[in-house]
Amino acid sequence: MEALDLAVIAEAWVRLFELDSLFYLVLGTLIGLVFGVLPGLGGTTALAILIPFSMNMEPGDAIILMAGVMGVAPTSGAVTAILLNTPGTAPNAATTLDGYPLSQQGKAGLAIGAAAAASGLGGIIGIIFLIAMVPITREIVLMFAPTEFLLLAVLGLVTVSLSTGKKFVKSLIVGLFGLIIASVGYHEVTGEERFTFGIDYLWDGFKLVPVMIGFFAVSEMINLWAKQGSVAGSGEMEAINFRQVLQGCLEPIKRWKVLLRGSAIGTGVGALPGVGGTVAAFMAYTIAVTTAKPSERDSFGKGNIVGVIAPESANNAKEGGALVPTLAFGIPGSAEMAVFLSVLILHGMVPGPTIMTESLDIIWILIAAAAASGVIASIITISAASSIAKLTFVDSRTLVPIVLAFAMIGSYSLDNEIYDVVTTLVFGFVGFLFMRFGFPRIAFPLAIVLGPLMETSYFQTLRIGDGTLSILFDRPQSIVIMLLIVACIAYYLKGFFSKSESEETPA
Amino acid sequence: MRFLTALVALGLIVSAPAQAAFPEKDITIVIPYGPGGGFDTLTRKLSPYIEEYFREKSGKSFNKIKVVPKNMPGASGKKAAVYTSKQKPDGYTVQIFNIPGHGLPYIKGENPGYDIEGYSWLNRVGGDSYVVVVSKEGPYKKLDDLVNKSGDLKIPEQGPGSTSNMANRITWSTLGKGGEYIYGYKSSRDYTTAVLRGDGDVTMLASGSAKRYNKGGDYNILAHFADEVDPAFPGAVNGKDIGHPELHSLGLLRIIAGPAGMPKEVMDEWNNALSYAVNHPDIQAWSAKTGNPVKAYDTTAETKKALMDTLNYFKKFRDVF
Repeated sequence: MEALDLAVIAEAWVRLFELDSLFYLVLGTLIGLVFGVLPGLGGTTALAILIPFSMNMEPGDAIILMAGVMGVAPTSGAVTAILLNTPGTAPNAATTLDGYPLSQQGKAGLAIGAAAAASGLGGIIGIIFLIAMVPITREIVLMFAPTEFLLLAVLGLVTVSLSTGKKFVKSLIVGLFGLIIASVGYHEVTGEERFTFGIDYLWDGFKLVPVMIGFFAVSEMINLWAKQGSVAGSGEMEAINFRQVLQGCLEPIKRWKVLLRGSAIGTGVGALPGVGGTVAAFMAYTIAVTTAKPSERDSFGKGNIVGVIAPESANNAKEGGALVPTLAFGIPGSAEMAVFLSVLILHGMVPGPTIMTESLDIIWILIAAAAASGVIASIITISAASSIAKLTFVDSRTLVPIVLAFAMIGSYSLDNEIYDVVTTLVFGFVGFLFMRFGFPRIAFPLAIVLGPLMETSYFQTLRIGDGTLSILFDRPQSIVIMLLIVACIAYYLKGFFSKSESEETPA
Repeated sequence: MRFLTALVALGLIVSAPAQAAFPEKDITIVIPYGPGGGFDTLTRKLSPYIEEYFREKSGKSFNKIKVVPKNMPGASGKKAAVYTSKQKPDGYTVQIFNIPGHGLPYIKGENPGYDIEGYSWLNRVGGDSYVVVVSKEGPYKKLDDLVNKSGDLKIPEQGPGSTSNMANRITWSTLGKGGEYIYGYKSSRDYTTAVLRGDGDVTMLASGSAKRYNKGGDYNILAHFADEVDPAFPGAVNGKDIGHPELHSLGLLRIIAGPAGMPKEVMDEWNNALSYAVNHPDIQAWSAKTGNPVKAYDTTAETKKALMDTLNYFKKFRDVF
């Protein structure tokens, strides 16, 4: 319980409000905002670029700067997701599903306000959950073996397919397509190459970011260009004002259950190394859809504000969760955390069980700075929202070339690889075809992220269980996840049938 | 006459750059993996000290030559190795190599698109030996307990072709024990935690990593394959104790090398710069504190010999990979 030493926690907050600390915090937050807004560049890139500068800094200052970046990138990525259907970071892809339709209705201010508030609040709730979990971080990490990862991947895919309602079959097709794309490349378990056709670029499989930029942003721009006009179409520009943004800010508070659930899912998923923010955001979204009243389900994907609140709260809360495996064993819970750990090592700290005793002050500075940067980012986003939301009224002839240029630059800048641009273009066209023929695109990103996790965990479970899957029934935690899967299906079917019955009943 | 003197002086100035000391511009060190791993951390830690050496060597405190680490992940390090092999051998692009990892195609007799023997091998920046790790709570208290276990050992691992996988395969085949590998863990930290969780029986780690991961005292280190067992591993045996001193050759090297054909004077300059950085008191203090073993050789010839000794040792076991 030493980890919860109140004096150390208070000192961390006092330290954060010193002038130089505030300077580094705001600097980190601003850098994170810029990197989050540009598609392709996320928190990981920003952190990697900052490493050389941080080496000559005092460890506390370096950590505040880094935490500033980590706390903010997911928030700013939501802005482009909402305005242009272009997720700034991969996890923001879930926010496009309802955020962008809101922009199309001229309610971009409302959506940005809700996203910013949900992000800020989600981040804080995630940290509160983290504080509650600090004494049991070790137990949590040891509880989740490949068996549970396999079942969690199945749970993710089941919930996402169910969330699309009547388009269930089409959604399955999209999911299968995602799984096929995810299987391309060198397979780390079997040591074999699959579907690489002798092309070196495909050896590591398709990269998530170029695929996402293509599938969401480029496809949308093709669509907009074909339709002509502006994103907001018939909406009224005058309606976008600060009042609309503030109204959006209040939405997560009004829907506090969605906010809390999203944050809980985010923290929980974040605590599982290798699963990541994309899954957290999509799971929060699909669970929000699945647990919505059957009468409300049809409004998802068409501009339901809950569809913005759930993924954004989860996406920011996951940073708190990602610290669980880091504190317990030094295992990074996310890509950002992996870079962050190397910063700790560069400063002579050893992440793992002893960090809580040896560098406790630094850990609490990190937690305080991450929470504060999320709040600063939300305030900046909210104050600028009504101006940037007007972007949705720019004519497609101006907007499409600009967004396409940014999409291509973002895709290229990831690894300075021209094939990434080709990938973006190809998936842009594929995404457009899916849109054109009414296939819900939501299952695709989740299948891409969960496919490899599911396959690897499946092989591992088989090996651990001497060639059978019977150990799934030996472990209480596995049984709980299996029951969750069954409950999700049952809950959905109940809603589906009761809705069909009510539709059949003559008025 | 004054004109002639001026002409001669001018000639001297013009010809000066031909004899100018290396380096004259920024240097890139390619890291064959993404940001955040051991190779990345070590390269970034050393870079400012390499800069410092070149600055002091030039005698100009304002010398602004930068040493820039560049991550180039892909194809388990193959992408970077191919890239480096195609750069100009002028010393301005070098790479940190993972040995034996980058030598696996050589060991197996495959062609990865680069010739591991051909690079200009400059100096080692890190080197380590292997240890055998089990959970403290588990049933294995000494190496014999593992060897005498009925059936194959279950070994959590990163994947086929990883350096620790090679170490495991060599060790257990030498000791006449079968291994069933559970692949797919993301990092050494991850598969070591898997041993603690009970996913498998045992795994192998570089000794520096083992020291870091075992700070909380969760593990037992049953063997350390080195001439002297590290005092941090009380109770561990070495290869000599179990009649297999050849296992001490199971090394792990982190070497900086450039493209084939680098001029000797540039190679020597690099060798000196790396020795300076590695032996710097700050780096050695950091190494001791974080358990990242940092070591250098005296000459480039010594570096090349260590590389070939390691590769040829592993080559003897090519049938077990």
